[in-house]
Amino acid sequence: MKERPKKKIDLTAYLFIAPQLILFLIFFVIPAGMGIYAAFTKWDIFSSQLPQFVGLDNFKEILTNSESTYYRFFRTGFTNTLIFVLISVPIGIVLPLLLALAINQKPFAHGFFQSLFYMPTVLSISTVILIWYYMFNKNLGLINNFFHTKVNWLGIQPYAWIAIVLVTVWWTIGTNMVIYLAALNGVNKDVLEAADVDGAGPVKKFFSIVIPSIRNQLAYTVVLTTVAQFNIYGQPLMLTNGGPNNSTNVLLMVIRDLAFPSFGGKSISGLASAMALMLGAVMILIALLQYRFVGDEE
Amino acid sequence: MKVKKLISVLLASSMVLSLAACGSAAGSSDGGSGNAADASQTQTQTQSSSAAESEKTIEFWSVFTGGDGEAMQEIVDAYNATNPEYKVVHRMMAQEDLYQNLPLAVQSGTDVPDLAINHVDRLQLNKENDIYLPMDEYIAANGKITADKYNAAAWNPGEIDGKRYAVPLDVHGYLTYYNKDLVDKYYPGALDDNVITFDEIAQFAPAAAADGVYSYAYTWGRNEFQEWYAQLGGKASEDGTEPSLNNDKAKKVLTDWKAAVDNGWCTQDGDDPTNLFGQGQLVFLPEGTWMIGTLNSMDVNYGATYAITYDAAKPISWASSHQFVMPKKEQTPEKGAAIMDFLAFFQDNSLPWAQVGQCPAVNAITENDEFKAMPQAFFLSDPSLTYISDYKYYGYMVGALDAFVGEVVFGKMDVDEALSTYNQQISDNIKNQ
Amino acid sequence: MKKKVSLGKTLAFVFCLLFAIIWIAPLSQSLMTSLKSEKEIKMSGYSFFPENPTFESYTDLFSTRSDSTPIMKWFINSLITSTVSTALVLIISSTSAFAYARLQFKGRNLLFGIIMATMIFPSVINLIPLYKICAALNLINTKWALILPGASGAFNIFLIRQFMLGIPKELDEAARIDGASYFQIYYKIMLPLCAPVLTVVGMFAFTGSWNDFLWPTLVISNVDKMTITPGMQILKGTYDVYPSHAMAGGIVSVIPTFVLFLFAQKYFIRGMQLQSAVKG
Repeated sequence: MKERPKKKIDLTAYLFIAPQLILFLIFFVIPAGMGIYAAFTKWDIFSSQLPQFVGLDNFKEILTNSESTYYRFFRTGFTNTLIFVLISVPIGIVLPLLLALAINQKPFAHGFFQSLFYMPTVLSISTVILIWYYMFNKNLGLINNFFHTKVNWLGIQPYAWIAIVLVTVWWTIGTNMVIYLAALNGVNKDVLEAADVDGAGPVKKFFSIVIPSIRNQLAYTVVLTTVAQFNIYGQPLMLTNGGPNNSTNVLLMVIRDLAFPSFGGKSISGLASAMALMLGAVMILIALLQYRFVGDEE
Repeated sequence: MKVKKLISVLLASSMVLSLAACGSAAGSSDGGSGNAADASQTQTQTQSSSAAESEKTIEFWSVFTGGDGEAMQEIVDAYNATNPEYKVVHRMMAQEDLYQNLPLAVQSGTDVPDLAINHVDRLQLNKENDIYLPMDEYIAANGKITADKYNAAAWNPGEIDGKRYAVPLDVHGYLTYYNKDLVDKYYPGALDDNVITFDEIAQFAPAAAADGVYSYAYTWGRNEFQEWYAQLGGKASEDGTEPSLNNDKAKKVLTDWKAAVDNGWCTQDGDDPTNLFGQGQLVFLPEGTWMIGTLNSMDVNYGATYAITYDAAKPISWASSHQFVMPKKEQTPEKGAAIMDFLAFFQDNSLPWAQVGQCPAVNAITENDEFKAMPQAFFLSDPSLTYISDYKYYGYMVGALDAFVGEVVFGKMDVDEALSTYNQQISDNIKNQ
Repeated sequence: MKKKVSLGKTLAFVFCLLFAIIWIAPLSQSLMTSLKSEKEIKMSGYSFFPENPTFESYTDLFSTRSDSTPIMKWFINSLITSTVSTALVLIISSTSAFAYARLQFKGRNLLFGIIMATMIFPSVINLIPLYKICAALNLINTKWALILPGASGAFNIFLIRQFMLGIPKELDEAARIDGASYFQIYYKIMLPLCAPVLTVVGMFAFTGSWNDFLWPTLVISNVDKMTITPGMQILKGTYDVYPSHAMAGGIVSVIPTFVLFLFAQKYFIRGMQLQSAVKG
């Protein structure tokens, strides 16, 4: 008796998840598997030839062959990506949290502020770059003209990174801010009031009550923001094109150029996949570590 | 309730839309080079391009945008107005997109264009990668497209291994535009021979710099580098394969240039040279022939001459050529003939192309008085003064040049390190071919 | 007590205002640039406001040769692609979220865990093979190549499931006793209650699809079938850039997502309740 209804639920449940699972299988699982396999092959995706298995050659080339151009590509690309992640992730967590706290105070026009800070997230990367590119122009940009400076924002460091991080922050922090706002809504008002009665200051309340109660959202945003920033691509591509001196040439730009070359020649997808796999491994490792440290086990 | 409504509306509309998308699956994939699987599966297409329409059109991809694109469109319109059996549909795109998408299209066999523009320096490698159809039989059948009618420098590279893969549209290049008022003021007499040399720059630039006026500009590093390197006798490759950029000539070009930037003779990093030229803060603007349209729209009293040169007798200027190619696909003789008609049409109707600063590749144009009066007309007069690269791996080379020329000139990269690193990069790219 | 509150509010306001300026500056500058003529930009130095405001760039957008830059076609392509994407995402994410939130079945936690783990899987690994798969399925140069690959996103399922976990179970248990099928519970009870989160997910799906930039340039080579976000890139000159036209194009291309944003934003706070993860 007990078995029968359960079986029926089983079937219904699978029907409910089937459409998503099928697409997931075709457009995620299979390409992911192929992508991992491709890292161990020599492969030109534009030719009809099958990938040719070469073992660990690609990894040797990018990790140990210091004479190779691809070793240099991988090293600069990876270092630059890491630099970007290290700068942008803390800002991408702290700033939206501060803005959410401020908006949560319900100051004058808080609804407007919330919409305004979120608005850029609905823009496409190309529009975002379009909007900012001219802001940074040395002679004709608003920034230099406002501050009466002659900074070559996109051409020298550290300004190029500042520009890229600024644009990224402007574009993306809305999502985290809204997540925090929703979380702050859920912070228990009674506990906060009890703390007021106990004479706790705002800083103490923040660290001992607010932070613990939004801990899960924090963990979640830290991990996802990190993952997103590791995927940095469009901002340096369109703002600095990797310059100056390759210092903003991030790994995804390198990978894309190798796999889909716009300068002609053949696609070097095997090497590109090996680089992607290395990046992926590092990302997963860091995400797991963060989740262990920041989040509680769920 | 509201959401349910919203969802049902969305559902309904998506069904209608997907039906519309599938319904017009007229299987008009004209990429006949595909395999059996291609043929058996219908192509989902938008209603806009039905099968019948695409069969009687010549799909033409070009790298022209802005003013160039409009001029090309004007010619295409004029051609279509002659009521040909096959009308030309002109698609402009950024050149990076074309060079990325053309091999993708040819390989997938879907939506392959019938005709495309490629730069002359891409021909060899794309031919080797099997992207083109040979045009010989169509050309022979047409009879009008013959070597004597075209500028030799533009015509010759289209023949590879005994077959013709391209017909030239134009020669275009890098000129030096000069602000006539500023030349009178700061460079008296320097242009009497219509050539500006680096010696003259060294002589007059300090006075201009003292007034905050730049003498010349960093505009497109790869082209400026190539012409100056060629003036010194430098070669992209000694044997046609291995790159040979790591040498003293390249070093001289880069270090001289860097010194000019440091002295304030040449524009600085991040400057916008066209804007400086427009505002009268720049004497010589090295720029493409394609800038003429833009310059004409600005109120500047300008002229044009050869590249700034190391050797007054040989002001070699960078040049390239746009070429018509037929991407690889199953092509019918009828459409092939129609394409040739379209190409032959340019022999008598190229003037709009000249008006935007290009030099049409047909010889007849050089007799045309209207063309002779144009600022770029001098560019065709002496072919020995244009440098058109015939390096097979030009794409890799300019990719490398883009990565280091500006960096070295603006002091962000050491010149020796840059030359050895990027020479190596080109070489490694070639190895992975 | 009262004074303290207003001090907090004032500080919060000043803080927000400071950032609001940074947020508004580039937007307003772009609008101004789009109203300048190209000649003005090339000939004169910096100015915030246009000297002679003109809609030239906007009118040019729609009058340029439509064969090569068929903006209306791109717009319609984007509209179709994004609408179908959104509908598909809403349907498949909500059904599977319902199963993961409410139904018992073998492998539920494992499957859900795997799908969630893909959120941290770097998409770049898939990119290259994904192109091959779309080519093999003959999807290149079709809208399906833009719609299908992104439809199974984990984040959407996660958001909807969290929201569903926050809905009292008693509701569907009562319906169950009344003899409702699971589909009826999903359709008649859960979906209406999930309005806020569905709005948010719908907006994510729509803007995500509308703004997709890299992928369309790989799978769509036919200009007629291009969507508007990558299409706008074509408007930027190859050799020469036209700032005013580019800005005008950028502004036109964001109108639909912007309107959707205005409509959807009031659901954000309710829709982004990840909190229920803890309580559920």
